[in-house]
Amino acid sequence: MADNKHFLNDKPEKLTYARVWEKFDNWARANSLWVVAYGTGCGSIEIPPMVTSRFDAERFGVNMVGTPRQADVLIISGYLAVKTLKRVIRVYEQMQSPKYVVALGACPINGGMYFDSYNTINLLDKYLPVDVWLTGCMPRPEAILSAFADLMKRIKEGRADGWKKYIDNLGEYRKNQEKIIKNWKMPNYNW
Amino acid sequence: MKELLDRIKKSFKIVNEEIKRENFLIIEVEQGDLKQILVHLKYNENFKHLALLSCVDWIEDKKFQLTYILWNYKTKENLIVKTYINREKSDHFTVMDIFPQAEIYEREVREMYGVNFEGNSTQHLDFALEDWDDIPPMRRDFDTLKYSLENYGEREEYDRTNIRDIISEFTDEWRKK
Repeated sequence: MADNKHFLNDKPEKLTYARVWEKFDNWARANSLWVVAYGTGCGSIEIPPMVTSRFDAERFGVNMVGTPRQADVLIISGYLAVKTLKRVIRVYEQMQSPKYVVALGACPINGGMYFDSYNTINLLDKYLPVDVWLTGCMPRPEAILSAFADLMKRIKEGRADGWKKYIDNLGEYRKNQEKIIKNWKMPNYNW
Repeated sequence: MKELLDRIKKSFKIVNEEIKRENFLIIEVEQGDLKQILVHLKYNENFKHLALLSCVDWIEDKKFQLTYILWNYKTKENLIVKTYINREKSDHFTVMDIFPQAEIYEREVREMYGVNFEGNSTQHLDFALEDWDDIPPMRRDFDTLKYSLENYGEREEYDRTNIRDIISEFTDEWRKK
């Protein structure tokens, strides 16, 4: 991965003005994560209890929004069919940088119980960069909250850079995506 | 159910029949008689509702079994009409003119099994899959594991080529207990 393009990983010990500003930015980003209200699989049933009064994710600044343009986080909740992957890619490319992907459950990691299905993908990171993986089938809302805590930690440390990887390796990701989405008629977004 | 069965038997040839419960009857008819029987059941016996059309692949007999589940609202009775069609040619006819809701079921069976429903003009549209270019996925000669490994891949540390044997070993042990 071409990490050295970005000033954050260039010379970590040197405190420049841009680096201090980036640290402040990351602190601000980590404390107001807005999530696209979009569920892909069975795991999306765990999202409503997470954001409502019982587990109340809003006390950590995690909030649901309806549009991808305003969102920072995309949750891949459970198994991902090829048909859904096409929509997920469209949603992800419409989101503004910086953007993060949280993958819930066993299915995006290695296929889970759908490892031999003709219609669900096995490895999510071939098609989208993933910042936080969360195991379980399905993870409880507490586990999802812990994943968000992990994501916040990574953002503050400047390690949640999946969106940079996506820009740098777009050709490779696009090749994998077009291999399984046969009829590729998608607009080219600019980011 | 016995009286109903006798009434149907008077006018139609029935290959096989079974009374499962007091409101649940299964009959098997030949492909050519199917349409007339369905018309008779709908208009004379009041089976107005086609609840389901599904398909079973009997690959050893080289046949597809088409199952029509009907429901009578007045007497609250279920009736299953089965028929077998040739698997190689898999030509069938639509029942949209009797039950219009069959259009969507036939689209699904067409996509998953490749049965051709003569007279259904929308059967070529996608139902659940998009741009499928392999043999229909619910046919039993379609190897889902092979397709999945070829198209979607696996982690390098896994080897899943004989995972079905491993799973069946476990399930055999579990069945013995």
